[in-house]
Amino acid sequence: MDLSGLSELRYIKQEEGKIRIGALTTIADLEGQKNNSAWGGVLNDVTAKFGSPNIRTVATVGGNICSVASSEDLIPVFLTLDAKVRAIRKSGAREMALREFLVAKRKTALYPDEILAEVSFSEPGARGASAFQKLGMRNTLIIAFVSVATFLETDETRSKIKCARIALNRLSGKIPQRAEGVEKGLLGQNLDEHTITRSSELLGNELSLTSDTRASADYRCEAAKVLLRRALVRCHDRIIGK
Amino acid sequence: MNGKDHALTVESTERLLDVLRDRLNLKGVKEGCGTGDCGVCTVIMNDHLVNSCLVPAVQARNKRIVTIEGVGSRENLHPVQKALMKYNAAQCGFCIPAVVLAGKNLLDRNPAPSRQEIKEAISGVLCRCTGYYKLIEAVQEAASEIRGVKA
Amino acid sequence: MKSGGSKLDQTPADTPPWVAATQHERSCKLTETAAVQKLREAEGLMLIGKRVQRLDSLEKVLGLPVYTSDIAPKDALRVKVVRSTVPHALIKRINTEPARQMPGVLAVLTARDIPGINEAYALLPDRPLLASNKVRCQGEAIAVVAAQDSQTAEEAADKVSIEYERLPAVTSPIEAMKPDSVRVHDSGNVAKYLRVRKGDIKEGFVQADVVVENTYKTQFQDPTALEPEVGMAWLEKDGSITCVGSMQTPYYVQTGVAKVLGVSPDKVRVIQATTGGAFGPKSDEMPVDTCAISALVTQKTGKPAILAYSRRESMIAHTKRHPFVITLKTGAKNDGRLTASEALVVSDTGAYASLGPLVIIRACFHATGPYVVPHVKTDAYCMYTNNTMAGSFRGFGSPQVHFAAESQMDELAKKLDMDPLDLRMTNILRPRTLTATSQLVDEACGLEECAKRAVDAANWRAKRLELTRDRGTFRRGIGIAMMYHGNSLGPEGNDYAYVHVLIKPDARVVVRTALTEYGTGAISGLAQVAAEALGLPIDLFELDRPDTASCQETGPTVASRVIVIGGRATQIAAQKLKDKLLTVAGDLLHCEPSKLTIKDALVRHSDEPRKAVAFQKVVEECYTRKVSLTETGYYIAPKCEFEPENSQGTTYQQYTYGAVVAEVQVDTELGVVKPLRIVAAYDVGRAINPLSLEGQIEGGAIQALGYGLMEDLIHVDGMVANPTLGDYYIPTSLDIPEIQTIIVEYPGPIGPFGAKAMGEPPVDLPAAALANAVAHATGSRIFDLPLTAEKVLSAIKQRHH
Repeated sequence: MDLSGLSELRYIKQEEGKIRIGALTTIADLEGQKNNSAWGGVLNDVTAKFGSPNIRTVATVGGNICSVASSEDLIPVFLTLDAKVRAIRKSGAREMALREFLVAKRKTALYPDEILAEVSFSEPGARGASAFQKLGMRNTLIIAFVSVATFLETDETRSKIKCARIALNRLSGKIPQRAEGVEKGLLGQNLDEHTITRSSELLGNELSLTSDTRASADYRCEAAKVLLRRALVRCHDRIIGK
Repeated sequence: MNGKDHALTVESTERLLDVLRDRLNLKGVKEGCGTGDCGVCTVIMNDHLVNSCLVPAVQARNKRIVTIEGVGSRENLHPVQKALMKYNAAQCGFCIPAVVLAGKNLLDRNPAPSRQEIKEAISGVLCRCTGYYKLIEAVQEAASEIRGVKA
Repeated sequence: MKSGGSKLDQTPADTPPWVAATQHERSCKLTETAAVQKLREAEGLMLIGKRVQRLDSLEKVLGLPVYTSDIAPKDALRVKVVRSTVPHALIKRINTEPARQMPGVLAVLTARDIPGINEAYALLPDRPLLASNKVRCQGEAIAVVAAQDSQTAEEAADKVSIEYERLPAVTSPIEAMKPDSVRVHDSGNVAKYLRVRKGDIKEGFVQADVVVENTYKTQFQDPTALEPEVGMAWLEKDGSITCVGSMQTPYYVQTGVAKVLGVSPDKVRVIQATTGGAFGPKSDEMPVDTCAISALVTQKTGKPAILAYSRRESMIAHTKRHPFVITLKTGAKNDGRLTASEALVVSDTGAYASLGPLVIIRACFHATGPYVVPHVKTDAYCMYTNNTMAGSFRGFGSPQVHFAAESQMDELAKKLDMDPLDLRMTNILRPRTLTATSQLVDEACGLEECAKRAVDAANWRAKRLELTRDRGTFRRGIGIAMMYHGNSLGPEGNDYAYVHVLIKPDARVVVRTALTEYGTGAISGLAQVAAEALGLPIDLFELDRPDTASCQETGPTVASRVIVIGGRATQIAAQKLKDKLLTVAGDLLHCEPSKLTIKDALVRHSDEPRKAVAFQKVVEECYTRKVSLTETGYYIAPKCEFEPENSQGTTYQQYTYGAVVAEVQVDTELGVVKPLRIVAAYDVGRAINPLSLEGQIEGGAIQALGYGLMEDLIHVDGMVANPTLGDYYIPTSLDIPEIQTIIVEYPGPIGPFGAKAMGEPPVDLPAAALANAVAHATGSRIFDLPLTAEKVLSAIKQRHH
């Protein structure tokens, strides 16, 4: 069944403090949002490195999310934005957290007669920022070994972390997950070098990865810690810079 | 399709690539991998580059497609084509239709691209022969020509 | 050695003065300056050394249908091959019935359907076209399905079932050397052994003050031509078969197809279609496979048939670059002079030898690197394993041994506390020194100049110091590598070529040969040579497709021999034509032909310029008089005379030399290597077309960059783990560094105008230079390719423990 003609599913709306993205929005469409601060900055990290220009024209937000594997860039990003998804069927619609929507590798919570219609998240406050880092074998068109998405929000002083969401393409299973141990460790802490370094160490405790022909478990862990730190530094810079 | 309308009945399993090559006899678009990784199947669809091996034929309905056959002619080459010839940048030639389309698409939007922007525009096309250098120089030269600046 | 100076401080004897004078010009810039043009005119040359446009670009930029799949007959059957899915097994049963039953399937073939001989091998008679009782690697062809369309053919192929009795597999060439190893072939696992013995190795190590010993490993590299293998066949009215395909050597395909069909070769016509990249593997078994299998279907069904590989199939089935394991033990004196080189060089040729026995020869001869070493002991083995096949691939053993030799030189320099450049300059081959095979290096040796120009352009001395001051996460490094590359076939066989040059009634000139191009532009280069010889503008020239019906058998298109050997044959054909033209012109102008010259399509008396006649007119007159304007040039290179037991003597007629400097930036937290800059200097003998030459140097540098940093066709227990372009990474436009190419010319003895081979040499060094740059940046050495981020990070961490 070809859904591509459903233009009503291709939109990016910003209303009532929420950003709502239709499932058929392409990555090329997202590129237009790069300067919209409501995303927290992460689009600057993610769209340019997503596939190639050719891929970005046809790849959709919905397609990326429903693939549920460790190579999809948007899943960790939306997890850290605490996104919700909306599934629709003839008899109605339902919403759930993205976390619940991702069931297992290549398996979503969709019923056979449902389609994913929309992904949405609440606009972060003035002191919120997001970032994304990934690593592969070359500079473009890669299946990432490791990818990390981060979201941080501080208090008015821009020093204490009041909200932290971290997601990796793989933590201990086969699908992207939130790193809750790291998140807990960040809450209430000062947003500084020491805290950021410590969270890398905390990540090490949560990671349980496997080796394959692309990379070993050890390397993935090392790289994940480095990418986490770099993503957090970027969040920090974006918050301070605001 | 290159300015002309076509009405076709297609199988659900056909890709745009198959329709172009087999039904419309447009052989300039190539199949290099079938998995969207090499880009030699690139065409322009509604002003954007796509890998035609990844587009189901049915999704091309009501779209404007440009293939290499719709760019330049023997008597009137597009500046990108002219420049590629000037630099001997077409070696085995298999990626060249895709590179011409990517170059044209870029210059249609941005007649003064930086080297980095040119690299990004062709980054979806793999080339094994040239190392990309002369492909980039050719697009730069074409940009100059289009802007009317002396090379 | 002085730094910063770019003067020649010595002109070798016997070098024409114009070479010495123009080397500086040509080396610094590749754009045509008035000075260079003047010099060329002084030599009386019009086109050689000029940036001439290729003759075959138009069809490519227009996207004309010229590749094999583009010109397939509409009614051609689609052929699909059923291939082995295990690395080593007996075939107990092949069940083709379910496939035969499918509507739309017109033929299902196995080995017993082969009317001729079931063989398709490049060198050693070790490989069947279709396996019948045993498979020795993944991807071996077992059965063939032909159907009306691709989808039916694929579905039918899936229905063919093979029952295997699995056998243990050997997947490491070192394992394969053990006496109790699994045997891939009854004759044993050694496909080829040879050795070099020079001097007395024991004595060499006695003389050494320091000794360095290391083992280096390289990986399978996939050629990744953008056009996968494809071949097709159809029946002619007279019952003969015509094959068209993506290939490097039409006559190999003719011989191979005829053998399989059980007919005489003159019943098989083979045409090379425009070929979308080759790099070596399309001169080995694959084009024979695609054409012979298609021809079998055609023979059986009477219909045209086309076999086009999928990318996955291509990556599993075709030949790749040989992985090597190289153990080097090198001895030197404290002042840096090498005294001894002992090498064990082992290649993995996979289940079938392909051209492995020739690759190992080149590797064996070049294993020391381009240095003077008085005592040499090299033992080289080409080993069978149950991995997929390795065969011809641009460089042909040279990239592998140079990675090892050049890494080793840097390790030695470290131990001697010498700059790696100085260590090399102390030892490089120069005129009148001896190679490892005791061949006397002639005056056409530009290695020293290549080195000087490269380090000059790369700012070697300063960077070598400056970059070590980098602090923080990102550390830069600079590395150098040098090479020599014996030209053409050398000891591999008779090195000859036939090229036909003919002039049509409309005065257009056609260059026709069974030598091929597949991106190199080499045949356009032959036209340029012919144009020079005939005094005609290049736009009068056109190329024909290589076709066994109209081109003499001419040896393979391999070893970068088109310009060198084909160029000489072209000159001979062109000269014969010129003699005829001038004889007729002399008649028309009532003067001695010896007084006439041709320039810009005008035949003119050299003393009386008004005595002239248009080239077109002379051609018309020739046709009127029935003077044939088709000539064939034949050239054969002198045979290489060397004593085979210890490989001592003349192993190649001439050598290409080169030096490459690479600069990298290493992310020391992730191990990621970012190539910043490559400076590549080559002694090309004579640049026929600097523009095409740049294309080869640049393209080769990036292919080698992939080899050095990211390409690895991984076999796990004999099975290819990443046979897709989504999981096997070649460089993209976003992965390339800055590049500077430098052309140096020390004309060699056999090529036209002194030209040397330059198709392959550009891939020999960049990986080695990158490895040395990474070692400089990180302070630790990685002994195997590719230099993945994981390996680099591991090496960095080890250093700090």
